[in-house]
Amino acid sequence: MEQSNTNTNLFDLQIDDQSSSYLTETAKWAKFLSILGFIGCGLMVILAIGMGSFMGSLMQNSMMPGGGFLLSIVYIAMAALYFIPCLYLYRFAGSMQLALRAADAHQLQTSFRNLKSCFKFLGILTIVLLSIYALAMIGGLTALAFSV
Amino acid sequence: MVVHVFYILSLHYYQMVNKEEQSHPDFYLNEKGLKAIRQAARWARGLAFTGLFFIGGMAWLGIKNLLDGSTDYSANGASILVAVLFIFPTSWLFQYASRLLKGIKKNDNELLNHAFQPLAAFFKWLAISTGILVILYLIFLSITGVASLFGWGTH
Repeated sequence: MEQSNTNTNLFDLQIDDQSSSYLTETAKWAKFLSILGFIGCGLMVILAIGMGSFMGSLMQNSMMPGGGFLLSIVYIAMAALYFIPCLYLYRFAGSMQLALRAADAHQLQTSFRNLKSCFKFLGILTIVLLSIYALAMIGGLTALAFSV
Repeated sequence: MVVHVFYILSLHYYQMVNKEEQSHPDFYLNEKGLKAIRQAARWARGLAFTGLFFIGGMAWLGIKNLLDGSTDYSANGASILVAVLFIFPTSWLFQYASRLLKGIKKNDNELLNHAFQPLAAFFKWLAISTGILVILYLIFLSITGVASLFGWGTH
């Protein structure tokens, strides 16, 4: 029903002057944010390599011989997770700028699809992290209950 | 002479109008575009709900601990401060999503076009706060770097 409603009234909805200027501003800040994100990802990878070897040499005689390598893997995984939403955000901003410059509805669609992907990724990541927290909490409470 | 002036004036007017059109184009949304916009808004609303839940939790924990007589002012104060700071972007995200979804549902162009203001504010806030954090981090790094070079704070 909702679908037919949008179909019949499709051409009543438009992006006006004011929205265009807000969207231009949005695209500008989103691009800045995504570039900061890319720089952050690069730094994380460098840190992963550096920390890995540093911690590896530090932990050589400790209980965890592979600790440095593990730390590198965790940092690189974090960088990869951070990179994906930044890429979507960058694409959103780029297509939005193109769409507004050329009044191209197709580019606008690409742009919003990327924004959706960005929000979707962040949403799913939040759900996964919350589930892991909940599991850890349950595990911790169970361990506590059995230890007393 | 008059013709010449008229010609120049009309040329100016033509350029002005053309420039106006180039800088702020109006365009209609097709079905696929509307679908993409609606889906983006739905995920944004979900994220905003989660954010509001977290902010509420953090503020509640901080206030409760302080009221219970906790002396850990820095940790509890920090959680309240973060909650207060993050209320703004989360509520903007929520406003964007709800206005957009309502606008599309009611076919209200005014509402749809009002939805993009909070989105712009949301991204602006995120970008500026990230920039400030990066600058603070760089200052911290340079201070600790200089301190370690000169051996300040060592015994």
